Amino acid sequence: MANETPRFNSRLPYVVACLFGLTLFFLDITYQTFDPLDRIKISSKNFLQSGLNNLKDSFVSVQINFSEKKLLINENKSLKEELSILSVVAQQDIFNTRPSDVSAPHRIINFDTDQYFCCSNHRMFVEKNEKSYQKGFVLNTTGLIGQIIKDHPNSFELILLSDVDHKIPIYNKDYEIYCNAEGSGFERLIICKSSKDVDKELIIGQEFHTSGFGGIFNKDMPVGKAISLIKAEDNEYLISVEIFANPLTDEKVFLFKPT
Amino acid sequence: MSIREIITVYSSMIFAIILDSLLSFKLGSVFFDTNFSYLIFSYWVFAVPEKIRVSQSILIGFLVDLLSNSAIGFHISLYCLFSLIIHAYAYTFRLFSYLQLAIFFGTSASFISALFYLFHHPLHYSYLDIFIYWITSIILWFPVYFGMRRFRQKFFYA
Repeated sequence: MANETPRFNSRLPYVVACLFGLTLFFLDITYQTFDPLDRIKISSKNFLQSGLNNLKDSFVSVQINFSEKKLLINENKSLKEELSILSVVAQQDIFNTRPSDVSAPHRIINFDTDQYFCCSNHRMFVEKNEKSYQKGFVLNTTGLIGQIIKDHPNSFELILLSDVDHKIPIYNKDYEIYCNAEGSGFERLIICKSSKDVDKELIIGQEFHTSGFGGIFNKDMPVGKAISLIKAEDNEYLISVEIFANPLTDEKVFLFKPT
Repeated sequence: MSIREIITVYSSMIFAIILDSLLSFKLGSVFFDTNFSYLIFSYWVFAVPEKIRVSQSILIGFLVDLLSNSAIGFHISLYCLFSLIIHAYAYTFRLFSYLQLAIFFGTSASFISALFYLFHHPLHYSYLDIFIYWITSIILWFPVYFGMRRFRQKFFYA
């Protein structure tokens, strides 16, 4: 049977539909009107992912239960977990951190790497466990990666240091540069704006640490090193800091309560 | 539209959104992205203009907005706009060669991608990336066109 010949009637419904779409777009961009819808989407996606992970875990634990070395495997697992916490604490040189301030490793359930590489929203979702903090910073085995930003029904939303909406107070000991470094939107890069006149040759390669202001990050945690310096308008200097930690390396992260 | 036609169109759209999320990656400083959702949507409007009209354009645009990372309304307005253009030139498109169709649909797909980055992630707006989207979209139109034609003949009219 031949196709029906297309008959074009009126442009008006299309124009009205375009205007309707533009109105929704304006409302969402300007007033975040559809944020509840977005939250539902995130929660259901995380719930599904978490369910799949649990299902996978239960298959593995069934296999372990049939194994003769059940006790040994469980002990090995718990020792590995404790060791990873201790190594993260030691590596980060967080002298004030007590083991009670560190949660057990949280599994990453959703990390949109497309967004991480292409765009400015660098967010990560991790599972909750028995010992969870609603406020604090986040490390993986490579270092400081971000902080907790939202508490969802079944997950925590983490904002990475490189997210455009993130700010972290950092400083450099040698040149006494203090600034609120902003996320650049590019992977592993933050921008520190400083009014202090510094020599480009000297600042490049200098390490930056957390200054401890703001009440979220402990003092003197390594953040990154300066890789470039640009003189901006109004006598400000923009120092690009490459973050030491890489959020892509680990499947689990550690949440720390600020001390 | 019958239930069967609705299922065929919407399942192909969901498949396209999944493909878009799977087939994007970074190579060096260039981010490769695809816009299968628009290519498949425009194929449907082009192939069955009498079925995909304004209401379907709104619904498909909303579905893409909901399942992708864009603000609500972005794809609704652009899909309605391109649906209007495709409907208005429906007869002209019938005379186009495959290459001409690929250039038109590839260009409009990259135009949507460019607007997406301009409004949502202006820091990442790059002419090199847009140029690569354009070339990729033109090339991808051919498999989309022939694949979707086969899919339509098998499921849409069955």
